[in-house]
Amino acid sequence: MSEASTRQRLLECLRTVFPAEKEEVLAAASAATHPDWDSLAQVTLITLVEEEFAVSVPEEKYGELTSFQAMLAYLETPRA
Amino acid sequence: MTLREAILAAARPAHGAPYRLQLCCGFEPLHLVSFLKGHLAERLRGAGPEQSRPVAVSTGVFGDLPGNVERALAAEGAEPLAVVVEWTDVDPRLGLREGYRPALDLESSIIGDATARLSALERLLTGAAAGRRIVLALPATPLPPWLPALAGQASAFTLGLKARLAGFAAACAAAGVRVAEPLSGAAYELRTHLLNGFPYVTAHADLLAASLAGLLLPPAPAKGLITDLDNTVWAGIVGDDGPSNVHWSLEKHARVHGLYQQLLAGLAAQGVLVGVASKNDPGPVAEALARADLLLPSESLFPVETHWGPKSESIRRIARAWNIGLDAIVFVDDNPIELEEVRQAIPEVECHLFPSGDSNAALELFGKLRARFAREKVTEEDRLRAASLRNAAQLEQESLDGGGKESLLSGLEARITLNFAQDPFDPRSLELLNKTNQFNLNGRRWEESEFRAFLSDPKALLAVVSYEDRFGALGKIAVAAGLKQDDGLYLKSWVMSCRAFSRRIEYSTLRALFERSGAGAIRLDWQATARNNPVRQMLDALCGPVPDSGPLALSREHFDRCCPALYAAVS
Repeated sequence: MSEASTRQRLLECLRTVFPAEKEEVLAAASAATHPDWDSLAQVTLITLVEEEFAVSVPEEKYGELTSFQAMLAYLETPRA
Repeated sequence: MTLREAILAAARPAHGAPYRLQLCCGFEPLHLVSFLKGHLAERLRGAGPEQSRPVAVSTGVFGDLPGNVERALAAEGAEPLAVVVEWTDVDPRLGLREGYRPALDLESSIIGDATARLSALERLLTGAAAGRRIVLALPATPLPPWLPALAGQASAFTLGLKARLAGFAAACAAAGVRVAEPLSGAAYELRTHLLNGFPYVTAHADLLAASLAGLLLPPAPAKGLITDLDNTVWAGIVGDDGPSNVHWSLEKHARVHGLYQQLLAGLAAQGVLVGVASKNDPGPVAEALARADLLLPSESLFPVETHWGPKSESIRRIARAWNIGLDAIVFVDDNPIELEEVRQAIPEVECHLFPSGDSNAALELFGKLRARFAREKVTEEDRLRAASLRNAAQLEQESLDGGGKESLLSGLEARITLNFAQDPFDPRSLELLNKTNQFNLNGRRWEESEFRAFLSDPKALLAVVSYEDRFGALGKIAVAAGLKQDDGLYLKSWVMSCRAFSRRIEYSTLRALFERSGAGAIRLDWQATARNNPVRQMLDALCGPVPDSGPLALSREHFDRCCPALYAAVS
């Protein structure tokens, strides 16, 4: 899986929740900076990521994956 | 549907007033809301572009199912309710999220409290079911793992609990609540339940939402099934083997054909039109259909088309006799070539292969057919449908045979009854409004809550028309829904079953509406559709050539001048 495709697929996950945003806004988005990134958006985003990438996000990661960049880094980290 | 697909489906552009649903549950509804919105939006879109509406789902507070139901029922309007019960709502000690110290009399205490809670919920739901659409889903989460029982054992406690739940569900169903069938497969996810209060895996949330959406907005059932005979209704070729040597019994290894006959008999009894398209000589077919051991009454098959011409021609003739659209017909044949001929000639007809050599595949087909013709209840009109179509064919024949139409109509001994009662709610009136295409003033479809709200308007006038003559009863065949205005009546919807054509019932209905409302004029919300030419013909006859969309004003004086002779007794 290439980096570009992971990035693009993750952008689509965010676009599903924030459909009005441009790509550059989505790529910089986080719970701290985006006004609509609330707890409901966070849960929805995690589920969309799990669905899209067929992964199960560990419970301890829920509180960490609160930005596009953190999610991208998590998805690009090799797992056993 | 994935969560992403659900969110995107709900976000697609839609117009019209929102379809509003109250979702009542005790857990955090989270993705269930998204899936419900997605499935409801798809169903509304599937019913036609003009039915496309945004979907709004409101929810209550966490941990208070009965309170959420009470508040939803107390809210204005008659919005539909989807109630999802989980074991935690039956008794908090049956959930896995909350901790408690077990007491010695835990089981009897839970049974007692659960019975009281279910009874209270039952009173709420059964008391409200007559006034609005309610759908109900029963617990899908597991019971706590510390209840005493052997591995694989159903304990008396568990069975007692489930028996009380079943009693609650049965009482709700009897009152008109639509109860969802239990879903198979993994449902529970402790991880999300602990993290955010949402108890389901997304696959279960999707299936549950699809099931509830199907109960809230069931698809219009197909109206007619046309079947082949050889190696379909029976095993064997009647022309080659002879009428007494075609089989459908277990002893002759042909039970699957007997099952199919029973399915057809069941569908016919529910008002589904069942016809035959067979490439055969008529004689042997008539003889085989007259056999006493046939498992479906042969009179439930009408018309029976037996000849050697293309089956697509038979289907077109049967559709004309039934007076229904080709898209409301399902065709079943064991021969793929015949199916292909029909598919190419009439793409609107839904075709199914009868897998005569594969019993399991046949059972799967029977399930599909049952679902395609599914209806919640069988009404008197359903039972009368096939007989009335046969009578209509006889009526047409008598008209052709001589005497002319006036002589025929005057000798029908027709009786028309108009019922103006708006309470209690009559589901047949809504069914007619939502499934009639040909004699339909404007093609308008009504959502149940919208129709109930309309009926609660003091200015609303609803007429449900029943008909019978010397050929028999047609039952409730027409509905007119309008609003009384200062000096007139504004007719918003008006439909009449195609079974009732050619009897001038529409003119008798208009006359009765003038008399009942005392209106000097009726304004008709006319809109041409692809299929409502019968209404246009009547309006052209009354008003001269009409434009494609109204409203049209019809004065009492003009109507009386243009109305043809009416012979029916109206009450």
